Amino acid sequence: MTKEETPVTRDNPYAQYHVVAKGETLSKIAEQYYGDMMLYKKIFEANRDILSDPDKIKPGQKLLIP
Amino acid sequence: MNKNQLLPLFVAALLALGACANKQKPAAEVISAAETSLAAVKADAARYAPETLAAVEGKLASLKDGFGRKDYDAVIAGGADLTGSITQLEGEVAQKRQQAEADAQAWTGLAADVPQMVTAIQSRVDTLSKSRSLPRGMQAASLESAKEGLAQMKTDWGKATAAHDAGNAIAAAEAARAAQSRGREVMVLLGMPPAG
Repeated sequence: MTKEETPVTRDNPYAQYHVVAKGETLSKIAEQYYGDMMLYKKIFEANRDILSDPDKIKPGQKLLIP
Repeated sequence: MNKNQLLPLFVAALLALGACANKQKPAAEVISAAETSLAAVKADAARYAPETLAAVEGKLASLKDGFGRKDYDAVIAGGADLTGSITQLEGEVAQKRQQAEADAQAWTGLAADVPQMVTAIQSRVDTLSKSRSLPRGMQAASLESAKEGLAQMKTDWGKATAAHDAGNAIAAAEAARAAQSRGREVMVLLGMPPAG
């Protein structure tokens, strides 16, 4: 079993979340949590249930931070 | 030595024999009662308090040796200590049985919680390991400590599930709680919030 087969999901009580504020981007959020803007894809992939485009996030959205 | 001189010795020997016979029965009863009490608790004691059981069985064997040597006074004198040890053993077994029942109930929650904690931490460690730099305020040493803590968590969880599979609820819960406790420490290192 690879690590990718057991991702953190929203029903995991230890999952961390970030509520999007006005003006934030996935890159900025990735930098905040991972120290690397390029890891925004990780957050996007973990939130495909509520995001269709990594460039389109809205204030108030509750993003799962894997 | 004439007959008059032998008589007192003969009488003394008879009295000693009589005294000996008088103590044989109570000594036998001491051993019998101890064996009965021990038999009632032995199966659970072997599971929950094997070291104390071994000590009690050693005392019983010692008294049996004394009985075999016809040292009935020693058997009777040692009876109280053995009875006390058996009572102590019964108490220890009852306490451990109660703990095992409580831990068996706690296992359901631990079995649901710890793997999720491992998953969340593993995910964060994997991502941070790919990062070109670390988030503000996090030192490289913290990430390394987190990796070591995660490895220890997995080891503890492996011990927990093995103990659970072997039917040892107390050891299973103890190892699972160790994993859980370590997980909380690792989450702090990684800047992750507690559950809920």
